[in-house]
Amino acid sequence: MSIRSAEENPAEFESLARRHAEMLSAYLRSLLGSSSQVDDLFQEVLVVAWRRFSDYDRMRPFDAWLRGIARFQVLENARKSGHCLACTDPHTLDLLDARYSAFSTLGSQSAFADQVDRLLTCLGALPQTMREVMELAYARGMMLKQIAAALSVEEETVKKRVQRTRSTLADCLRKQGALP
Amino acid sequence: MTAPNPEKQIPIDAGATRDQQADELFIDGLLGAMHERSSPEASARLEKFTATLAAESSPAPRIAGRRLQRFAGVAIVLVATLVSGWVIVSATANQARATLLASIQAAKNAGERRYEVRISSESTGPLPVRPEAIFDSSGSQFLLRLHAPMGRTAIVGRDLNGEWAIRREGGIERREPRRAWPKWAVADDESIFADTVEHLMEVLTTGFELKILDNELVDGRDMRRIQGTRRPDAPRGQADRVDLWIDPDTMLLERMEMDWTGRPGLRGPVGEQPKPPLGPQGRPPPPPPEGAGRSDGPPPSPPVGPPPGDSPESVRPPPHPRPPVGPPKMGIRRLVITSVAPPEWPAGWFTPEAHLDGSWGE
Repeated sequence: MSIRSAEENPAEFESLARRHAEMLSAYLRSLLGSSSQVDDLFQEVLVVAWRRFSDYDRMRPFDAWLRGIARFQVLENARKSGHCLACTDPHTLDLLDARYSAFSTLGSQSAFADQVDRLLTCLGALPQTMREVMELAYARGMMLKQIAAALSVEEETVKKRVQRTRSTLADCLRKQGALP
Repeated sequence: MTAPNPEKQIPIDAGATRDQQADELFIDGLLGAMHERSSPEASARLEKFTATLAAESSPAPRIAGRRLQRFAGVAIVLVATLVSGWVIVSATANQARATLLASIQAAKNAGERRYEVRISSESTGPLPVRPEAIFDSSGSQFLLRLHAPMGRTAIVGRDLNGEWAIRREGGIERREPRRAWPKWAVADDESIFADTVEHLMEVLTTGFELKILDNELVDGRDMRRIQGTRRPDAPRGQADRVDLWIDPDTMLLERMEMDWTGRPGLRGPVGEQPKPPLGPQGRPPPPPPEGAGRSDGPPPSPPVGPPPGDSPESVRPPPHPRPPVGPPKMGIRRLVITSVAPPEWPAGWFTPEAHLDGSWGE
């Protein structure tokens, strides 16, 4: 097994980090549900990975290794701050990791970003009401209350609609063979 | 650390299945990343790290250009800020955690594995030949077979349809399989096996002060060694000390030893369980007053009385009250998990149907 630290080969590390940066952002976003926290954790995770690069087994996928570090850092932060969306249930985190693994390995040469584009197809196939609520929640980053006001519906309705749409999108990716 | 904005994030459906929740989290992450692509925050994120990288990998004087020098200055401040957060943890602890993390990740990507679990009521001395439990896993599927008290066998697992347990009376329990978890394998409401070895290792990363020791030869193979000492704020039932041997080639756990040294260990199927003393007229004594039976010390208060049931139907209140915690008690003082070569499992090995007869199965 080749063991080299990131200091010995910064170009290799940087290349891997760049290739998997979007995946890492997405994964952290999945765990944290907030972009502001993603910013903080993103730096922490990559610095830890950088320092521990000699522990990385090149026979294993880098993205999985990176997610392992990310998961640990999120759990650590959650332990200290009490904030974490999904860290209460390790089984759910395992299932989430399995989805990222499957998604990342769809095309060995394709960047994660290319795979994310599959989601665009699924978004395009959504009914108008679902597409609308996702546009407000994600593309425009509106708060629950604002979305409810914009659509003249109850907040609970918005919440349920977003939840249902996420499931629908996952099913769509699954039909494409992109999810387990 | 910035707290998440509860108004902005739309939570996942708490009433959904784990699979559906994982779907939602996954899509939430993907959508977030997709819409961030063109945002300045997303590109700044990587550049910020690149700055850190530049500062760590190259001495600042070698960086040419005014902009880069300024960049390096910012990077040094960044690194200093990040590093200052770490000084509370020693370098060896970081290394130990990183090794443990790498091992957890390797386990998730590993194929079929088998671990044997041996327990002893003695802190030292040879371990029993017969394993008290066998843990098989393949991907997300697992099978845990334990020798339960009264000569029974407890069998729980997870197949592609989810978790299950074999009821003591026979039959498959899928609704509440966790209630069938053998009680002796549970400490402070937390399973000491968790449900996979890597989950158990994750517990170690938070409940223990870790340090890396010198490598050690095990069966002629050089193994990485990590030792964990229970943190004062860890759950009371956790072991005092944990030792791990990790194969540096595969990064998989080869052996783990948990020690409840110097205090009564967990109640286990080993040894005779002490009966509560009889009260007047041969009846059990009255329950201890509120607060009795507890101490500030580490010993857990294991259940006493007849061996706990292993099936949902057998859950019933103990016929005897709990006696005060006090020495001496029989229980697990040492638990050793060892990796062994998995045999060729028959088809459907991780399904409950393959273990319906309740036997050890091999």
